[in-house]
Amino acid sequence: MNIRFNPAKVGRVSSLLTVILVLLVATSAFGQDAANGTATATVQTALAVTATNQLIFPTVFQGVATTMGKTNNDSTAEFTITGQGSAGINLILSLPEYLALADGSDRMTISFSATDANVDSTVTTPATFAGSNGWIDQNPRNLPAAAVIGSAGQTNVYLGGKVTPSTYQTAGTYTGDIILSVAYNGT
Amino acid sequence: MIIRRSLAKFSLLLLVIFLASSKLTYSQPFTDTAVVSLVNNLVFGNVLPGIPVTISKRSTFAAEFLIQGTAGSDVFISFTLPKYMTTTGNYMRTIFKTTDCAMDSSATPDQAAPTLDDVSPWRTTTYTIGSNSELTVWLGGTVVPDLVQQAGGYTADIVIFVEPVDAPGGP
Repeated sequence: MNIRFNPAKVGRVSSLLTVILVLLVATSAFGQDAANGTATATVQTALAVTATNQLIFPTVFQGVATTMGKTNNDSTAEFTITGQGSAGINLILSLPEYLALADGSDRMTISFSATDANVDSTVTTPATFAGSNGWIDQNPRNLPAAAVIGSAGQTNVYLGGKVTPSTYQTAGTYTGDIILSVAYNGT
Repeated sequence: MIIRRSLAKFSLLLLVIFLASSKLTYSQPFTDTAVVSLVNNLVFGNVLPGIPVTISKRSTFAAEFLIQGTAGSDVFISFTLPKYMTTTGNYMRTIFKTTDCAMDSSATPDQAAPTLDDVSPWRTTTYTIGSNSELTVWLGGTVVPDLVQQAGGYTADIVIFVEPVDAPGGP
């Protein structure tokens, strides 16, 4: 038997069958459905803490206690905290009990009173800070629980202290670490 | 001649497929359908670095989906859930617990007291579409930002799949 194919007709029939096939496949999947939702979150600015100024005591003499206040722009310890404006933060200062010579051969007592810290949420300076700028005369071992990052995205902590050299204190340069830890508290 | 033979074979193949498909379709008929649509996205809002945030399935910020289908028919419900939310070049961990999903097929869906509670979104769940031809699904979740998580807007896709239980090839 001699069958003749017209390519054009075969093409049209093939196209038609393909369409039918697609429709059948689509029909067999009918009844199922999916929907896309989205989870969204906006992450706020991360915290960063910088020791802007060191706590520097002037020349200290044996047997003479020396205090550095928290209002000295040059010698008060100053920490700068940046983060999300108005977010609540927890502040913890780790304070040394002694300063030591580099070789560890002698130590000198350092102490901090219950009013040796100011927390400044308006970013002034240690010398110009006032109570309206944040939290004044705070205990550095118990900084205010209500502390926040200032609305400008920054809060400063100012810290003074006192060293008490002994009568026989070895001459030299004494140092100790003061560490400020900051974390968001979710408020 | 070779082209003609090829076309003939192709047409024959299509015809066979057509007949097979027809048989498949007519030998396994089904009547139920289900359509799912998004009502609300899952919105965590502002997130502080280091502070995980959980959105309860009871919250107005929980994801909400509406399934519509044949009243009284059962449907398979499953999710494809993200492990991370992303912004450009950054990732943030997401957690979906095995109790983070809830469903309600009553005429007046109650997010506070759903008819099917503490459902795992990680497993396929079979549930019945309500008498009003609807089924509401809620999904909560948690994000866990790092202490130094990069600031910015993070997103992730949540996909819900719905399939009538009597559909061909169902789970």
